Amino acid sequence: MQTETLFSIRTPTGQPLRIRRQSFYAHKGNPSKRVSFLAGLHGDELEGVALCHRLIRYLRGLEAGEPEAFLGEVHVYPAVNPQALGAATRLWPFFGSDMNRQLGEKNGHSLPAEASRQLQDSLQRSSDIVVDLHASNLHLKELPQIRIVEEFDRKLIPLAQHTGADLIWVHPASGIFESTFGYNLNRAKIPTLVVEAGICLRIDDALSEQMFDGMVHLLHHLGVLATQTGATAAKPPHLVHSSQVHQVQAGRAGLFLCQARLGQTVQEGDPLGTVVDPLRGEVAEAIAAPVAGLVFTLREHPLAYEGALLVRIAQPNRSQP
Amino acid sequence: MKETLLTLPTPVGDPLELVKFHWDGGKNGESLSLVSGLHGDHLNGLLVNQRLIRFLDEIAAGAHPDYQLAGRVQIFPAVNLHALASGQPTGPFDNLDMDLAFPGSLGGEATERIAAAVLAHSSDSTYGILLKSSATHYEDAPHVQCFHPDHWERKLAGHLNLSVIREIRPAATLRQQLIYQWVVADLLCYLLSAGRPGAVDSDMCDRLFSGIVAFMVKTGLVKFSGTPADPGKSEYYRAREEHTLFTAHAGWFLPEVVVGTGLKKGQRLGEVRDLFRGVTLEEILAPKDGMLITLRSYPVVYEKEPVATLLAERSGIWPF
Repeated sequence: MQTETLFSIRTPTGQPLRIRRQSFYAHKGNPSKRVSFLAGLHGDELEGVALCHRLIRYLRGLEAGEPEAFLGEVHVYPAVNPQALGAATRLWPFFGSDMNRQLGEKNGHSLPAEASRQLQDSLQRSSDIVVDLHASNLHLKELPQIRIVEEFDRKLIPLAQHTGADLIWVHPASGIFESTFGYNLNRAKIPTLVVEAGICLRIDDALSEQMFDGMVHLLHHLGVLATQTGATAAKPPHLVHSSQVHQVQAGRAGLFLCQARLGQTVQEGDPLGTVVDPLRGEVAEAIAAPVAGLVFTLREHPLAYEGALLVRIAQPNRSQP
Repeated sequence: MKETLLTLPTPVGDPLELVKFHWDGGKNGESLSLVSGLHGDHLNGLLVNQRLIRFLDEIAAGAHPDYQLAGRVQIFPAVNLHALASGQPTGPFDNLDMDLAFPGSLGGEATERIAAAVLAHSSDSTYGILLKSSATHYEDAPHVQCFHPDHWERKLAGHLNLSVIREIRPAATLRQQLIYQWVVADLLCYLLSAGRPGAVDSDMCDRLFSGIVAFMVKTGLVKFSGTPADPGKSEYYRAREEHTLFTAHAGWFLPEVVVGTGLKKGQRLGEVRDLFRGVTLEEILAPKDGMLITLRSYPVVYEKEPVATLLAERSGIWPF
């Protein structure tokens, strides 16, 4: 394993601030493929950081015991927004900047913008495929899923099938993506899978394990690793388009008391929870499943304003069980 | 007249209300929307709109006989209700940047609903003016920002009576901003930036207030029978004429100039000192003649951080 620094500056107190990666190179010859894992763009999303820890540990063990297994290159960027991670905040705290909204056209001269550009350069120079790991916000918990903008679906769906995710969600483009790493790397013809899993500020062992198995499977599938150590089969995810995704929103403000489980298959009309009015001691709204399908997003934060997203349900394709 | 556009029930308290103030002179058929408070700590815009509301109410009540309303004016003084209530740039519940929430959604989350309501109520206006402060840690001299302005828009911008009109390059995030949505809706629109977040500058607010009044008079939204004040001159700066000045060292930045002043090539803007020992690490010098439009206001700086923006090589003097 080689530790490489791709961005370094001095903080006001003189301490260095570095963005680093851990690299594993092909045992000999040219790499079959070069895959990069990116985590911690948002400092409160820890699932990806934990997954990088597992990957680095696994790859170090493999390198020590079975170095010939490395036919390709793996680069792991486990903590690309170190100050935000240190403060457990989504944004780079001193600047109040979202590091995943700094790319694209003319996004200024701030330090987060410059760090993002250098990170993008590093990824583009050293990757054939990138996996960009995210968790949800403080309000929602997500089943492991790959989110794909429609214009990139032909390249990305075949890759996403081998990630062990529960779901692949193909959705239309939106302006909000144009400044993100996922969008800009895909536009630069570096296939990039954007993973959403779990909830911010927490690590779910079961989800973490599932994602680790999936990513190791992906490395085997791509021919980056040739070993049986740690290799598992990954079940194919549900593939859904936006028309199959049903959002359930609060019609009233209050506290959402949840009855559904993440990953549950519900039938139309099944109870999902209630929104209660704590001031009056009344049930303001009973929430039921509008369609049958897989609950892949669930509200964890009970406080709900009108219009708050409570549940997302993926309707299966006819060919899917 | 005050009107409630949107009532947002809260989970455990009284509802929040998004309001606008509007006046209808009714004669010339044109209209102006003024928006402030997209970020909860951008206070200059809020104060300017407060003064405009008072002024327009007084005109409507006949307290300023030289002025008469002739068009429609509406003011949205406080858009990001949660952020303003908490004194922060964004609302603490969702931390969403309101100016990255447009066009919004009437059926979406609270921030999206507010964005959609503001856009729905302003997108049929003839003119739009958005009032903001600088980015966090910086101070802006009062100036007009415009996006791809044509000759007429540049000319009209001069009637805002601010000395600097600055062309802004669209960023990738622009599509989520109110000003972009106004451009798409075919409003003739400007962004006025002045001061810094979390602070009020009375002199800057005076200049913005009188500039907007002059704009309303020039566009015929308000008729004025007195003698107009000398508008002064405005200079137009293209985006390619901007120079960003960076620190080479981390430490403590001590400015020696103020925003809105013209600088000569080689002139000192300030210096960076070691944070602990106070030793001078570097001087920040103007690379060429120009107008200092943005200056670092928060003294603690990282290595390679921008500390100033200089607008150089003015391309035209108002009147064009």
